[in-house]
Amino acid sequence: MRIVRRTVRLAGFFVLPYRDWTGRGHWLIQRITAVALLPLYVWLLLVAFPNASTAHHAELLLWMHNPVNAVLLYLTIVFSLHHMALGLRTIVEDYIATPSLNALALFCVHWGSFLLMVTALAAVFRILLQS
Amino acid sequence: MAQLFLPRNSRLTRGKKWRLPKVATARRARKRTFQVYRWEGERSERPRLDRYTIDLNRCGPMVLDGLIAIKNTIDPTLTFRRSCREGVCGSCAMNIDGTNTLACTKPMAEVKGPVRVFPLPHCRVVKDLVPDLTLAYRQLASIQPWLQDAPKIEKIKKGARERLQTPQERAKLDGSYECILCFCCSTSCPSYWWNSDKYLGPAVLLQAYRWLVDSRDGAGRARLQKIADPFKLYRCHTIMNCTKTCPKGLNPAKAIAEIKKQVVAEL
Amino acid sequence: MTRTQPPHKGGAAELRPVSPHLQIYRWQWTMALSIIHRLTGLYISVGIVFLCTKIIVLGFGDANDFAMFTQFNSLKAFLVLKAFFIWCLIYHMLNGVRHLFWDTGRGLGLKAAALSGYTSALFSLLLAVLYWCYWL
Repeated sequence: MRIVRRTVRLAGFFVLPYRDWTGRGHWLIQRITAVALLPLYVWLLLVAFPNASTAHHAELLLWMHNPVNAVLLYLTIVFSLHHMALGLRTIVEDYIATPSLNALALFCVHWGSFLLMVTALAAVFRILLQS
Repeated sequence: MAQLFLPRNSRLTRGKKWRLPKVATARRARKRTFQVYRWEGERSERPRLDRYTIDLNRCGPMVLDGLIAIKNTIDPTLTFRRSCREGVCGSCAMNIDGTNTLACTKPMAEVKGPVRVFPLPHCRVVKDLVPDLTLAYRQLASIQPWLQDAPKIEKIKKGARERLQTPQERAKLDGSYECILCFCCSTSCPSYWWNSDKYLGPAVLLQAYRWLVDSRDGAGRARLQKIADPFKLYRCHTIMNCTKTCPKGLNPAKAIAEIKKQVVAEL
Repeated sequence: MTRTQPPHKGGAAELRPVSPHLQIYRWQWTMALSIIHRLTGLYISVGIVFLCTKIIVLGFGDANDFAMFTQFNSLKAFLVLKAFFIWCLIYHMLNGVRHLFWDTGRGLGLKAAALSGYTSALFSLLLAVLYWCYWL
């Protein structure tokens, strides 16, 4: 059981792209992504949502074929998921005291957001490459 | 899981109602009700909320005066810490009317309705209004609140007899040295409630800042390295309950923000 | 990460009750604005995951799979969720700017923090209502 717990704990910490788990690194990257997200979300609210939120399949594909839209949307996703992962990590560390549950929750948060990020990138590429 | 709800042995039960003691006085009694948290040590099972009525004509204006009147005239078993009665020792820190403050400097007139008195939040209760502050004191000791790696006096200047400090350098300590270690701030911080064992809390971090910013202290980098981990410092999310509640008007939130700035700049 | 051990683990200390906290502490603008910042962040996380799922389905699925999202859009309940998401986003952003400002060390006095807090909360409501009128 201890081996299982230790593996889960170790795996929970292993996520690219950064290895700096000291509070300082986490705090700094949270701020950097926040600053990067401000203009991106202004764009999202003023441009992306009105045009793309209620669009149909074909319209949406056309909208995303525009490389500016695709890139900005992807950047929003990347920084959002980073910021979200760090924020959720903080919440887990605050409220979940038992070490095994804590490690499991952190593992899910980090791997979940990492997988979402990678899959979303693949999806965006696929849309861009399809004519 | 962080204990958002009180464990079973901590939940309040209905308490006793104590009457105003009948004393022959010339004036009509000005009544004031107190609702006070009671737990009589291992003898009693669950904590309770007792209701006392006192005559404001026969005691001083502060909440501590009311508590002392209760202890003297109604219920001598009521237990609380107190010493200076003028807001400089920090002994009578407790939760009055929902916020943490010193009982000796909180006028009863400022409280509307019954005066609800509880011990400092999320602490183990020794008895009645006396919290167990051992953990907080241990955390204070852990930041080594004494001068370290200070330059040897002989090496500063020939014939020097003290480590000098300019008025500007001394001014940096203002706002942190005045702390009386009442721990009102730490026990008002929700982060400290959920993680008392790992988070240092605003009171201790304010003292850490006091030593970081002291120009005579040479161990700044070592001090920063010691506290800059995800839990000791970074459980602070600038909730700002600490600054709101400090009975001495200090600003631990600002000190913690300055520490975080130093960590980014220097580590 | 070192843990400061509470004294007398087991024994007398375990019998001692924990003093009430959330149950008795007065709700103030300080902790209220902070917990709303956290809750809005959580709700935005849900929204972001939804957005990512939409993009993934768009990239890897076909029009039939995507029809599920078009169906969602027509529901009234979904409209409410979207509107709430917009307010959460704006509030989190404005309060986030307030936090970034605090990180520079400024604005941490009680009066300044209270003012900035109430301003950002009211402004977020105003901007959200404006946005709803314009877009929804």
